[in-house]
Amino acid sequence: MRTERPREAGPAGATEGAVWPIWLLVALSLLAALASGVLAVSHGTLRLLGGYLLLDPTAKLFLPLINLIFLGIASYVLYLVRIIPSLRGRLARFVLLAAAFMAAANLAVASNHFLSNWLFLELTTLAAAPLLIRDGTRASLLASWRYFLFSSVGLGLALLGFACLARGLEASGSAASLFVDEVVPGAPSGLWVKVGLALTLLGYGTKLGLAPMYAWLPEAYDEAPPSVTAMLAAVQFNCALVGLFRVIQVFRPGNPELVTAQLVTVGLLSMAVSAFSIVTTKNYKRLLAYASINHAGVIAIGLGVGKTAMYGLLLYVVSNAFIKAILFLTAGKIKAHYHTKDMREVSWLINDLPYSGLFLMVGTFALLGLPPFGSFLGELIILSELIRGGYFVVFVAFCVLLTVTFVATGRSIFPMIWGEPKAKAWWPPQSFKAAIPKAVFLGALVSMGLYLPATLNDLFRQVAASLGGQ
Amino acid sequence: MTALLAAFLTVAALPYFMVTWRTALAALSLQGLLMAWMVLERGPASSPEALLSLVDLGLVRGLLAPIVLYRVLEAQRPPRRGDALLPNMLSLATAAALVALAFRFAGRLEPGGGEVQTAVAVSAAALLLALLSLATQTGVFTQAVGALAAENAIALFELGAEGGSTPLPVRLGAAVVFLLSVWLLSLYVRWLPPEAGPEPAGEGSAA
Repeated sequence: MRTERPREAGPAGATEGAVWPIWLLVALSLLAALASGVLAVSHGTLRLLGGYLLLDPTAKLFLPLINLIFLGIASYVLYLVRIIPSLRGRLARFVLLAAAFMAAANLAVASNHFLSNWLFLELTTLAAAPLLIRDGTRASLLASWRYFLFSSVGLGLALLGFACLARGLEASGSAASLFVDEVVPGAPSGLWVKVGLALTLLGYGTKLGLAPMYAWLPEAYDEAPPSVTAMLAAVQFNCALVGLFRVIQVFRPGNPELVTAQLVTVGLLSMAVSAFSIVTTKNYKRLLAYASINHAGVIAIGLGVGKTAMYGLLLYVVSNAFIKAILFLTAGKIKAHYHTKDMREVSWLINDLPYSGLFLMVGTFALLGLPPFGSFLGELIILSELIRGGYFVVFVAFCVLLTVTFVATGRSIFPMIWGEPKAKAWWPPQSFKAAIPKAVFLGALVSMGLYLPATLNDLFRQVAASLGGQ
Repeated sequence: MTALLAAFLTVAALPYFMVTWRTALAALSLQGLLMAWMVLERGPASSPEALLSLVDLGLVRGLLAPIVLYRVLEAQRPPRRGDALLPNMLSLATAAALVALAFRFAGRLEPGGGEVQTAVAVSAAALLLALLSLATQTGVFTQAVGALAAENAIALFELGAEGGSTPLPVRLGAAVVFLLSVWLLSLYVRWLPPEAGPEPAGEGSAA
């Protein structure tokens, strides 16, 4: 079964097209990554386009992150289309939609108006939904449909939430402006605000894959091409998270109990759903998707308890963006070689596909929150805040669910890496060029756990402070 | 205005009693047109905001979206019947309970009563009915109609707000997003026709 050669040459007679669109996309994403990197080290907060864009510490942290990850994804696709001519047929479509996705993602992160953040998040969904569809695959079409439907309904609820928040502001005598930097934090806390806040958290939770609106995520991450899965998991996820951060930073001070209760509840529920699903699945792409739900749950709990957890939460979020990009791109590579998503059919990866085996191994260590990765430190800080804040029941549930996830993930993934070979296999030697983007992500991931430059650390602290962190 | 709101609620509930896909599309169309009428009732549409509302509600939601979906469905020649809810008494009782709940909740949110409270109640009821349909149905067309009905309910809620805090560029952007969503929805309805076979199981498709 495993002696079959990889499909690197493409089917005979496959449509070939120009490669220049993907070069253009790489160039654009490089420019965006450099520009946002320069922005991150600049001082002060900038208000642009009549106040619709705000370059504050949150935007300065997340813009370079999403642009760097997208640069890695675009470089990975560039490598693929150069060696697999059959992929060039729909390259222009991919480039167009991916460019639209990234433009909207950047604008969503930099939005200073709640509704413009919502609007650009909708645009990322509209651009991403067609990207999920692979030629002739009904399963991917259904996955794309469910992604689009859940996103539309979730974002619709968030829009309704914003409308309720505006009414609440109006009812309390404040100006009903939804510009983030114009709403006075903590001022109103009437019933309209509470309903609005609950709906907004539910709506954004849908985009993050939080229970109960997570059903689209495993299917979408499983069926989408790996580059698109990485875009959803590492880029769009963070755009939605920034939107949620903006809501929390403005409305938490007036409604701390509601925010904590809702986020901690959906966080624990998501972790429970994820743990159960990881135990039962035999599909390694789905396992990674369920692990993403687990991450979203940890993030929701960290965000819910706040205070000192905020710094750990940010470490966890940034680390996870790299982890998910590494793991989903690697899973795509494994699937392309083994032609199966069944983890029982994959073994001895470290020998068969050394780079993929290495990335899967290190990525899984980071995924499980082992030292020296930022995810370890992040989780540790969140756990210590649970103890400090007196959330003992949450702490116990968190630890139990994390242990189940840890054991189930290790039991499933590690045999893929080191398991006894089931049949003789021959793969062509893996090129390091294909591994460069993932190696860069891995470097960033490891360095975050070992040493954080002072400028970056300051940025983390500023964002944590804006979210009510201590 | 109250008569228009009552008409909106009737139209929103119509597909649960007259279960054909044509009724569902007619109901969507009437919802958009009724909301456009509500805009006109407030006075002549002289401001850019009012004009945008008229185009969004009357033209896009009232005419374009249902017509686009009608053309796709007509080409597919699906069965006449297209349930918006599971056809049993429990579903209908749940729908009735949700409408009652929406009215009670609106009473708590807007204790002053009057038209504002009715608008909140009707939009909440229409939203809950749409969500119930989305939660209980698996057909792509029915879900697409449910999503559009939910969008209409949210639009009605925004219309009922007295202030209007949304800046014009954002409203314009939202209208464009809705237009793009309708286009994409119609593509999915075309690509995933109702007579298609059973959906592939997630785990089973791993091989």
